[in-house]
Amino acid sequence: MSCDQCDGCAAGAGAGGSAASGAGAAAGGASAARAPGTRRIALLGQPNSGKSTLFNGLTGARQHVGNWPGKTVERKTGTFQHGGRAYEMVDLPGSYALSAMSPEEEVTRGFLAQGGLDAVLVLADASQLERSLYMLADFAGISCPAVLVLNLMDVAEGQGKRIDAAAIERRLGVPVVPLVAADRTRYDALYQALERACDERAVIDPAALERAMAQRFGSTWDAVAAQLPEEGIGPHSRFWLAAKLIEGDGPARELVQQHVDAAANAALDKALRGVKDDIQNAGAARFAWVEQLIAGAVEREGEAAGGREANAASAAGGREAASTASTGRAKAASPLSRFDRLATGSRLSKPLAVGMILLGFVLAFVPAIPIMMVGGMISSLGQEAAFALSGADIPDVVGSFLSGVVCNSLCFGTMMVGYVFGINLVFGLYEESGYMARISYVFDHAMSRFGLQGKSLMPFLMCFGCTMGGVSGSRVIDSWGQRMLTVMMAWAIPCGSTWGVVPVLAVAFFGMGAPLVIVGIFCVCILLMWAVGRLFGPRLVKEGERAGLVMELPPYHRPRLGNVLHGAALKSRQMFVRAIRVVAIFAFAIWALTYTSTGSVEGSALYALGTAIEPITQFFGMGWQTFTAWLCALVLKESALGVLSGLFAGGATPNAAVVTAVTGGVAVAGNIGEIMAQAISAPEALAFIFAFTFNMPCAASVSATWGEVHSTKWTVITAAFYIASSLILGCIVFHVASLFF
Amino acid sequence: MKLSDAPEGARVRIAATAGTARFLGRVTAIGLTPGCVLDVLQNKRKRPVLVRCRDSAIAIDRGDCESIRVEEAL
Repeated sequence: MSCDQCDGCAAGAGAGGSAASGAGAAAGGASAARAPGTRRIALLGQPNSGKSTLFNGLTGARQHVGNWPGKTVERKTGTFQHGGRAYEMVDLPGSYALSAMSPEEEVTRGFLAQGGLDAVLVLADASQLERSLYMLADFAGISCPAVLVLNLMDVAEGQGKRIDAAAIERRLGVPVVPLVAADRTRYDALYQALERACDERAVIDPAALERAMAQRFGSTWDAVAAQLPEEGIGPHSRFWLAAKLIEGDGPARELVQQHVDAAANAALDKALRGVKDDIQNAGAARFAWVEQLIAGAVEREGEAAGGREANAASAAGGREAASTASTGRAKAASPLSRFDRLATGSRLSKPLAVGMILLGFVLAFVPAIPIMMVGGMISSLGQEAAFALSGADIPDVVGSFLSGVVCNSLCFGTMMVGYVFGINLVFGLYEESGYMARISYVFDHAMSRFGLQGKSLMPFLMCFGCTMGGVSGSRVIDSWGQRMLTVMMAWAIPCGSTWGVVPVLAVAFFGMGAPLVIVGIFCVCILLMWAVGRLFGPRLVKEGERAGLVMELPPYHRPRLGNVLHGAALKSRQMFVRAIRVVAIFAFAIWALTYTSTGSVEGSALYALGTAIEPITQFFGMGWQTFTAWLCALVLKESALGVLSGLFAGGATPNAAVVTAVTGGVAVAGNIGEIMAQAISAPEALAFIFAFTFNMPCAASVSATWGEVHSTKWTVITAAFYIASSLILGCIVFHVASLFF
Repeated sequence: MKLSDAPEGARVRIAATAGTARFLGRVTAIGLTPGCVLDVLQNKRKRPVLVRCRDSAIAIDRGDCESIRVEEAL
């Protein structure tokens, strides 16, 4: 586990810890003679502290997104150059502390424990400085050079706050930088601070924090600390380990157990037996330190009234009230704004949230449609090219491949990017403005029953329009498990394209009974979502992690369009690069199955396959034609009617229908419903309707899911689950319906 | 009283919080430590309770508020 880098870090840190500031640490760092190669830094901060914005701002397009090995937590790394130096940056998952109680925190702890970092950028939200410095307080004592970044200074200034970063820096012993991460043109001070941190290798001086802990825990603190190695273990200082042991932190106890002898372990167990309320008191000690750290450094306009109240409070009660007076002079309750009352507390808040989500979905189309039109043009170009090639005596298969696989993949990929860009742009704005947290607040109660958070409602609603949209909207859910579960459940929601097919068939076959079919679809949709929640929920969102909602509602502020555009563009680019591969595989598979050189469907592999296995597909309620349409819908739902039309009314082959589905090149017979009603039975039609509706959405949705959740395993599980449940549904519907029709 | 029973507009002090280590870790990390003063911003049925604490608006699940005991603060 420990490595030579780790020792290096610990050695440098030891020097920093004892010298407390500047010079000694600098010497330690220099003597370690680190190769002037790439500097490794990490980004640490609470949710809503602007971590992603800073990460995007620093690394731009030079990012790699994946999952932490063996963990269902997103791993973002990126590189940038500054001052002739290369930097490699890891964006540590957002969490409120370093308590190892969520997969995110475990990842962060594990990563910091490895050491070998040149600096950690610790982010705090300047507009809620006291609360958001808790992460810094929990990090202090890990011996690694650090920079404290006070982000969202513009918001703090908007609140009338002035923050004396220099004063905080003097107390902390490491560089402190005020920043507006969304403004990439003003990163100079940050770069300088980063260089200083890497060169001087100063670590946070934990002496004051240690005093706060010792004061609170008295003899227990001394007894625990006495049993720990003075130099700490790896990058963990003795102080940090003692605090974690008192908190009852499992992994820290294990680590210590391995590094101290049996007598010390026994003494530790004895000393720790007496600690009660450990987490809360350790937390209170950290906050007491934070209050000292920023005492007098945060000034707020119109202090007078708040000061009076705080003084009254300090007269009334003990230590905490006194410390409150030191920092939180502005404790005068600033009540909720009128808008927030409406958005969170009134009867209108739920309709408002749903309305805002739907509005957002519509607005997302404004930038999406031009991009999607480009996608359509690529498909048209492919068809033109194929036509031209066929005129030039080049074998038909070349043109067909070009238009059916190459151009169509690009077309689907581009269309997906349209969605991803539009959704990320609009909902990025919602998130940055602070409204997204209100949606979560309002719907938390309803969604928690599924083990989800309030924000999950948004992808659900968007999936009625397009599954891809919903999948990219799931980005706002910060826990990977909940995001995956949301996406998995959202696949069950019939998308817009489904509604282009289902009513046509339902009316043709069932006339006045068609609304019943639609009701049935909604019932099955809810049932399926419930089943997914029951089947996969416990695996994705562990019972213990389903802690109720404890979240902050960030202050509203005007989002910066440029910054959100930048983020959306980066995301779209990443998604396109990833998605195109998945889309191409699907497009190729279906093309290869449906291609026919003769121009009649009988020449295709799919026809041979479909007719050969028809006895089997019939068990699932589908003849070879409906099975073919079902299969083609795996690539693109819109193609289903075109394929059915070609198969039942004659004309275009399934291949042509799929190739031209986006551009509408294949005419759907106006009376396709009636034609089919003469050719197949009502139970088969009903079976097809259900199997088609609840099948895996489409190739682009699969690739969007893969791009969003970074887990091949779970993408495959989800796809397999839906394909299987679609067939089972078809089977059940067919056999039950056969009893009635 | 329980935080879930604290009326809107009240200023209260956290007396004690009970619960699993995970829950305690979570509320502590967000700033709700014993002795800390809260302003109850909103307390509506079927909605999380909304408080202001350490200059932040914080939403806490209603059920969880039952295990946060508070007393009136001046």
